[in-house]
Amino acid sequence: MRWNPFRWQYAGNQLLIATNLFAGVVFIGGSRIVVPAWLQVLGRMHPLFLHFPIVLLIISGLLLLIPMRSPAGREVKAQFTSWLLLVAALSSAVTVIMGLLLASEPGYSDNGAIQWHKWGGMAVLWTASTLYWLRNATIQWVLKINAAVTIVLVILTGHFGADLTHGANFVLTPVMPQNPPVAFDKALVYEHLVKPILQEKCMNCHQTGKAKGGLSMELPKQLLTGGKTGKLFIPGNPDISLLMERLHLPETDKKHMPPAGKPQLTAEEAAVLYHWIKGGADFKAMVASLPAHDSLRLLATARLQPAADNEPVYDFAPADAKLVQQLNNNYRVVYPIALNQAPLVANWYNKDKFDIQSVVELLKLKEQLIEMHLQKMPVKDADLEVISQFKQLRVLNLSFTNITGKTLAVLAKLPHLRSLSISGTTVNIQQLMQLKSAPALQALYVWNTGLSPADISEAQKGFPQTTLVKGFTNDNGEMLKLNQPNLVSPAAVFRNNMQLKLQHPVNGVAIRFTLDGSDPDSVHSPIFKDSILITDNTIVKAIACKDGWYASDPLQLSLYKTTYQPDSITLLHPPEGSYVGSGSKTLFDGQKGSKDFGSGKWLGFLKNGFEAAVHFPKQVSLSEVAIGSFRHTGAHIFMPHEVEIWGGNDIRHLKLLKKMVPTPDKKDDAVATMSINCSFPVAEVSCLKIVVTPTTIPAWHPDKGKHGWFFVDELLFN
Amino acid sequence: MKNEFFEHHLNMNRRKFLSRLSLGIGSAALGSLLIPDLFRNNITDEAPFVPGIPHFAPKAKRIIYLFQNGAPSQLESFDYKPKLREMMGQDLPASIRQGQRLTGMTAGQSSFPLVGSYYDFKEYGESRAWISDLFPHTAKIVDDICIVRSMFTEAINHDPALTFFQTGAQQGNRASFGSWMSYGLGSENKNLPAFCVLLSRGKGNGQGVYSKLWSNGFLDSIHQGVQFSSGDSPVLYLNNPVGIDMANRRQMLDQLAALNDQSYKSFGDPEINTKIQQYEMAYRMQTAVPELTDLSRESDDTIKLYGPESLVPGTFAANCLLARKLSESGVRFVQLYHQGWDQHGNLPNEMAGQAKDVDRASAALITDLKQRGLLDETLVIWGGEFGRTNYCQGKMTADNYGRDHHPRAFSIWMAGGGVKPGVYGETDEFGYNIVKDPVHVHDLHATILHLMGLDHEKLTFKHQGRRYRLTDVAGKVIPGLMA
Repeated sequence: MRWNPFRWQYAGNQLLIATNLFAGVVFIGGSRIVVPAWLQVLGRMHPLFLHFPIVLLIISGLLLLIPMRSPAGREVKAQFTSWLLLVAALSSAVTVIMGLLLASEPGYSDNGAIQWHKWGGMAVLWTASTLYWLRNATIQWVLKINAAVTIVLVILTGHFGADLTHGANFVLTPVMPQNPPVAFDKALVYEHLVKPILQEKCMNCHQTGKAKGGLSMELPKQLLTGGKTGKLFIPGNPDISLLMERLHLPETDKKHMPPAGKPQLTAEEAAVLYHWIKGGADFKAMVASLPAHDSLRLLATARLQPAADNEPVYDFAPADAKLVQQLNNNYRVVYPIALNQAPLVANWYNKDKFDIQSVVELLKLKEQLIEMHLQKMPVKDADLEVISQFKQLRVLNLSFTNITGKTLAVLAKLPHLRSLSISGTTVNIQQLMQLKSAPALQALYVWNTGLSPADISEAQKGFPQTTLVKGFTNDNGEMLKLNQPNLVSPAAVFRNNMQLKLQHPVNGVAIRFTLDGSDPDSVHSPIFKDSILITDNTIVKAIACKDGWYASDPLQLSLYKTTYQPDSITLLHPPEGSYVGSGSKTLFDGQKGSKDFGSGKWLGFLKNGFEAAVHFPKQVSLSEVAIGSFRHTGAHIFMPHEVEIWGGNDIRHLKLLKKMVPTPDKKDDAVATMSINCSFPVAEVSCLKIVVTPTTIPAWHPDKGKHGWFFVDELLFN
Repeated sequence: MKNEFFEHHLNMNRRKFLSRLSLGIGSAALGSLLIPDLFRNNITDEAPFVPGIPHFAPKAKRIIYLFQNGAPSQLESFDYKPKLREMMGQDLPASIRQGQRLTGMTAGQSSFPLVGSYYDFKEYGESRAWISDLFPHTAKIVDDICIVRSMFTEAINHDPALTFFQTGAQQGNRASFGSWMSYGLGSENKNLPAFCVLLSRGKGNGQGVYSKLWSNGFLDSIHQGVQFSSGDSPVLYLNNPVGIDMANRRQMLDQLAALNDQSYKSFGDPEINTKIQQYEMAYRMQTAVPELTDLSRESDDTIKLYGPESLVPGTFAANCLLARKLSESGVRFVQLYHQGWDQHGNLPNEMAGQAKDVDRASAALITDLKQRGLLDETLVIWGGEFGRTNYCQGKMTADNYGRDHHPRAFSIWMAGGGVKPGVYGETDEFGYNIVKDPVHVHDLHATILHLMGLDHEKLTFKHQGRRYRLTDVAGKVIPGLMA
């Protein structure tokens, strides 16, 4: 059969009329029609098929609206639009029918967006059909109006349809003003915690326009009413609530909500709903008014924005960065609190360089300065007048300055002052009370002032908005033990006599001492003043005592007298290892070594032994040589094996004055500084030779048989 | 004719090319509007970093880091694990250890007997935090501190772990934390270094600290940490030699600066300028330091707060007091090290001594800063380089045991500027693995920098062709630690 356009057009005409009528019936029949399952499939293809009529109708409408100049063009257009309109109208009809079938499925109510969409769809069908039938009409303006109306209707209907599938106002949401996230302290339980969950997970199907199961969740009233199956919940009793039941049915169950495949509620979201219902399903309550350990409150903390911290807001303009830079010097630092922020902070350092002029200079920045740290600077009473001109001040630290409090009242005028420190000054209670009128004062540091703790507690009553910080006081009377006094002059070896000086870092400590080796006590022993004259080898013991403290452990000092000072000492073998000190000088520098044997005050000898030649400036009457020595068996430092003292007036002709063998070290001997005292009958000598043979490590030691070290710090000649 | 037209079309001139392309270029430009950083990518990268000013308003201005060198056991201090006492002597379950590496010191052990704390724990404060009886004073300030029980690190031996904590990398030669701070925030007080270091040593088994830990690394040497020592001259070589007075010294420095300036002009080495600045600062320090280290003006109450040890130079207590004074004087970063926390054996005994050294003074520092209104602007951190194992190293008796290194979970505490007091993080009941809110060393650094007003990703220094950060290429700010 040959292609006959007229025949096809005729068939199309007939079909259009038929579908129009069919659509009309289904539209009127509305909710009463019963749709067989296979037709439901067709109905569900509505969202897919609708794109055809939209495009076709808009193209043909536009074609009708665009005038054609040439007659030939007009002819072609008439032909083309005629066909296009037919297909467009037919596809509209099919789409409408599909839509009506879809709408008859349960869950689509009869009001709201769906109703508008239905009517819109019908109107599109009618106008499109009319357009087709009037396509050859001679009155062009009728046709054009009709075409324009069709296009507008298509857009409107499409919009309502989109509302149904994507939710209201899907298109414009990104450019609509956003609701700012609600802070914890401002949030409502229902509005900001419960409703967003329902909105996201439930309301796509349970809204006024599309109330599946007869349930809409949009309004509180609807939530309380419930749907076809009954009430959603009984406030206060979540365990028997339909809502909870549906949420917690297994996901495979047909009645489980949200239906399988849709986004499910998280455990946390379900918990929010549970606890909200349990708490009585209040629609007005504030989150912040919930008890501190309420489950709902805890859940809310995690879900809501934290309460807006009171980040201060500064509304003044920044200062000129160059000016700020210029006002910085070595003793005064001015800097912005952060990059590109207006508020400035100023610190002062080095009290010797301070002058109130350096505060006055900053008046140029008084609009920006929010913090001034003047602690320990010699700020005087009169200077507070200058400081009070910095109206933006939030923090002012005047602790340990020279202010007396006389002029403190001027600071009460600072409108923003939040924190003021006047500790370590002599402010008294009347002066303090003048600050009562400071409008924004939150913290006032007043410890170590003329105020007693009782004063401060009393004053606190006058400052309802301000915390008076009274600092640490040793209220519980805890007694502490003082530390030992210090020896000022560290030389432990003296000639003839010495002035012993002791000191203690705590003010008001009494140092009590003994010189006979007995332990001093805090009552009877003499109190140290200025100095003690020492004339002989002495063991000094001293303790520090003060009221309110336990006395210190005794400081024990051994002071050694050396009568004769040698001219020189020559070491025949150099000291070994790293224990070389300052060479032979170390032996008569008046410095005793400590247990820190690497300190440089000790000389160490291992293999070669110690042999020293000592020369005195003139002949001396000698009866004793004391060798300062050290014992630390763990570090292989032992008493020597043997000591010989030779003496005479000529180094080449010496006679043996003394030979002794010190007591060998035993296994448990503690680390100690020792003295090897070699006494002999008085001998007139001008030079000496001292020979010390180090020991071999005894048998009890793990390293037995090896060389042992001999350490010496000082030689004393009496 | 036709050919000519054709050729004319082929003869594309510039005007034609551009006019034809205008739409194309236009649409490419339109498309690029949707990719805001398409062309800006490099610009943001190169955005000039302004050293010396915080990126945003800081919560804290200064840091005092009480480093407990040697790694104090979390199980005898802040991480209460009663289960370990119950299971005393039983082997660490393999399900808990999960085959993780051990140090060479215990890897050869045939068994890993669990050992509970010798010391009891009690709950304190509003946060009901468990603290051992070894730290009674810290327990009193529990509501001012945030105990982080879920720290972890990557290194298992002291030196790399310590270096990691202090510089953000296990190998040496990077810039120290304090140097970064000095570089990022500058010095508040130009009379003192921005980064000061104080050392003390307890009686426990110790591990060394080396000056590389306070090295400026690749940063300008003005950011190097300056060590304060105990004794008559706290800062070495600061005093004038005998016979030189301040005027003399001034004259000498001026001459020297002129000479240095000359050589700067000929060589242009920025280190020369640094040198001049350092001489100048040292000159000003000559007056600033004696004022600082003079403790005799402290009140009796303050001394009792820190304990009498605070008067013995070189003790942890004295260093805490000095740290407060330095911090109060605007020193950006005061780094304390207290050595002696490496309890491989004899733990109950040694740990008690170590705790006694530091407990009172650490708590005193917090109380003292608070009463001076400085705790709001000072951040105090207390902790070691890693934790210790829940099983015994060496011989175990009823009252004696040791613990090996454990980097996978340990506790530190922080207080002050912007820190949220309470307890953060959680370990399993064996105290071996972290089960909640882990905090990596990089995370801690990032969070601390954030509190100081610095974005850890922006605080960079370009050296040898790459930009370095304290947090290297990792680290995230942990909001849970911040108020």
